[in-house]
Amino acid sequence: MSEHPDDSAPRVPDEVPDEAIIIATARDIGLTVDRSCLPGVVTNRSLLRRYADLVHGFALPDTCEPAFEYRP
Amino acid sequence: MTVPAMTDPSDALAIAADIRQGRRSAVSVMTATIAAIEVRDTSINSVTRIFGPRAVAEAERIDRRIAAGDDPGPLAGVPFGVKDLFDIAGEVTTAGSVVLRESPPATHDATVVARLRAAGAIPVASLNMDEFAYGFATDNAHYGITRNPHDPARLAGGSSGGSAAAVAAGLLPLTLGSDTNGSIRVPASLCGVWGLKPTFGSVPREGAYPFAASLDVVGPFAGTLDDLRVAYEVMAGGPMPELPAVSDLRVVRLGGWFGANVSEPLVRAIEAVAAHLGGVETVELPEIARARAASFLITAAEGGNLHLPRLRRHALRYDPATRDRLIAGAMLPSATLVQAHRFRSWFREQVHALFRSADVLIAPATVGEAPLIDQPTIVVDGQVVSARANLGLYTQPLSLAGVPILSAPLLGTGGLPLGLQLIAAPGREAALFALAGALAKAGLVGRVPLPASKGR
Repeated sequence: MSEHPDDSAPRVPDEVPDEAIIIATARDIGLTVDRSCLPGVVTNRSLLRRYADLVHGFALPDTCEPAFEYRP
Repeated sequence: MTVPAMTDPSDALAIAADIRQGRRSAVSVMTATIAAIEVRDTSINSVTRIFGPRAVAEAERIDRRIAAGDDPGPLAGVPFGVKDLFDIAGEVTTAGSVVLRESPPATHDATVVARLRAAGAIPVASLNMDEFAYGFATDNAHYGITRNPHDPARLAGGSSGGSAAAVAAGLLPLTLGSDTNGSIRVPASLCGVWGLKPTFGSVPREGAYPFAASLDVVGPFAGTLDDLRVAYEVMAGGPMPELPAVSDLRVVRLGGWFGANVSEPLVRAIEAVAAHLGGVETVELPEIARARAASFLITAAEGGNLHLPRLRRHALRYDPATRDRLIAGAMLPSATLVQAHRFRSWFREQVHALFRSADVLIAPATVGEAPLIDQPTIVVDGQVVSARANLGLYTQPLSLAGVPILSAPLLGTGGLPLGLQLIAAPGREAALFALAGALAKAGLVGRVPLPASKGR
């Protein structure tokens, strides 16, 4: 990404409503989110984002492989 | 004819001994069990279905085998219950949801159910749970809330809350549950019974409805430590190695994350255990907050993906609390899931490093006693947070490691049940049973009596 000049980055609104992101992301996986579900999904997505920030905030060596076939 | 004295209904091996030696029939045990559930479960709602006719028929077969001189096994005629995610041949496995209620009946028993039946035990009931095992409350929109037998105004914990409550109430001596983030350890602790989360991958999960395959483990609840051991050995397919001498075990206490937010009675109980062991060193595992986060994320992503096909078709049939969590999980970016799995590899190394200088770690199972049903919250770092999502504060990070953990009910806390996690290196369940046995002998841990029977 950094090899592109700043002015070539796509412009997006500063504040995209969470509901809009959820509807769009859900569409990518073939899911239509009923309006009645949106408040709960917003809350849970926000919680997961906080946890995601925690795991992304930890530097791992490139040699650290995913534990997809985990053996304790 | 004299009527034999009633064996403690919470002692599976005593029940089996009575049946094997002809002091009681398996049918009389089974009919008494069913009657007790019908009369007494109304106040706690731990049972979702009773397999009455088939359980009695199975008990009749046990009695016939004994009459013929056969030995049905170490758990002859012992009634047991299963969290409603274990397959029982001929029954529909609902996983606590109406979404699966129209599914065809299971064609085979779950492997662990089949092994227990081969040892003589008889499945008699399915037990309540959070829908699809996603929660720590056993507050189920379809099947109701399971109440804590020690105080029906309080949660039993979850997601295997029916399994813990049924043992705590003395309705069943032995039950099965599953633990992805603490779903055996949390309810076992809050209900004052024994529970075991075996080493990840060591007990077969075939026939147990999945939640998050990277973390799911199945295990037993019991009223006595000996019952827990026998159930575990049967489920695992063979006996454990000989228990080590307790004097040879290096026991340490987990501090840091596991020392914060703990209630005063629980701190005192853990200190009593530490004092009995001659004082134990306190150690810290690094990056526990991230370990919990990784476990949370893997669960959300795998659970969300598992349910995505059904969420596309009929999301509104789910319990709203489960549904919204699953939808959010299904949408997690792959970068986050992969990072969580990579963090797991790193964390595994830290756990193994700790076990180079320790054999058993001890840690609280929850922050304190069971929350009230009408106020289902706990306090973490001064903030009031949802109990359903946060009761696994101390269990969830350890799930990531996949190590075996025995949940020991603490005695003498002076109030509602509290539990202690005994944690060992992978495959070292024997060390857990050795330490738990010593603590039980010292009167520090054991099934917590119900208020009405205290002081008898």
